[in-house]
Amino acid sequence: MGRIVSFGKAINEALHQEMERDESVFIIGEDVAKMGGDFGITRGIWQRWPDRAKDTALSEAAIIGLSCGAAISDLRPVAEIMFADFIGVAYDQLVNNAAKLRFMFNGEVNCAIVVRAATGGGIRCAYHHSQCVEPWLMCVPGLVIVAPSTPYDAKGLLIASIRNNNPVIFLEHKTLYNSKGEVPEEIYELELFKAEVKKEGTDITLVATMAMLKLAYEAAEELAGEDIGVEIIDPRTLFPLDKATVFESVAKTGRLVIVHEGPKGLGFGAEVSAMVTEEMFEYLKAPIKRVTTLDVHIPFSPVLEDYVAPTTGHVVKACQETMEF
Amino acid sequence: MVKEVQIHSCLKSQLEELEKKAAEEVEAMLKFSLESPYPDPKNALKHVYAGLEVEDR
Repeated sequence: MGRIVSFGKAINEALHQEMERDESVFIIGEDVAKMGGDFGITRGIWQRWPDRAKDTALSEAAIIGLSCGAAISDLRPVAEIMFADFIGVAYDQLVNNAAKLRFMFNGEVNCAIVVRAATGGGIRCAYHHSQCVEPWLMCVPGLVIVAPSTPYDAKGLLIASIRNNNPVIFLEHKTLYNSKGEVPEEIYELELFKAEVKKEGTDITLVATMAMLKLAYEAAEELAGEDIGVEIIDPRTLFPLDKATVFESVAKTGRLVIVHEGPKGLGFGAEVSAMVTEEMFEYLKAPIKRVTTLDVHIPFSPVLEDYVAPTTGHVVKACQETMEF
Repeated sequence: MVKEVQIHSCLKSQLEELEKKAAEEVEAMLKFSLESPYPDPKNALKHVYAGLEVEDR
């Protein structure tokens, strides 16, 4: 591959290439056109396709409602919700329209919308701009939740999401926007609903999402010094989850630690833990552990935010306790 | 804003006084913030619920 680009640039490139390839694709959202998005992810699109880049009023419900209407008219909108936290404002449109349209019309219409949203903490944005909202959405049948962790995955998964006929929520962790990695210049698609084993190991399965992959790698390196082999899995699509990849790993290691941002209660880790307990109980050598944010709001003070967030130390400790059980 | 206020017959001197007062208040708040110690991290567990503290790790 050889070309290094940022996570944000990879997403921008995916949008450009898909809009070039398919004229039914357009972008819509607050400041996505002339300004190029709050995080600069849609830069250059309005200049190239002024009729296919739509700035909207500050109404997330209107953005998603309009996108649903466009999608059932065979367009492919890529909507941006500036901060994932504001998905709450558009929740009814997502849950009661986007998620249900295909089912309500007996499979005769598609609601092929992609909702891009900047998610997660770590940039001192406090309560309303730092949440991980995937649990709000994973419980809704019909919605697909995609959450990349690398620039390569971001580009391939966004292209796949745009081409997919389901409503896809595409979560972009804010702390990853400037992270860099190898990304091919050509257009390519990565399979949705498919987890990836990022690192092989024999002792513990570590399932980590988005920015938590960094913690997982750091923990794996530290634990290697104790002769503990960690297998790291990035689910990439959070729901519907690729259970087979997780189950195959747990069958090998017998131990599972799940790392994600956001509250522990009823979060992504709770669902993975339940799935493995229900279907893989006989393989488990130790109780499953979850490393997450505490069950609180994300505080504004940096010391408080750091206190509630998961760290590499927490991941190492969870893995050690699992091994010692 | 200056124009708006002038339309409503506010004296220039009154406006300057208001701006000075606002700047002083901001300055005082900034000084207080910078001179204050960081809060106890465990404060993050408070006030999520009434009458119940959230469990720590």
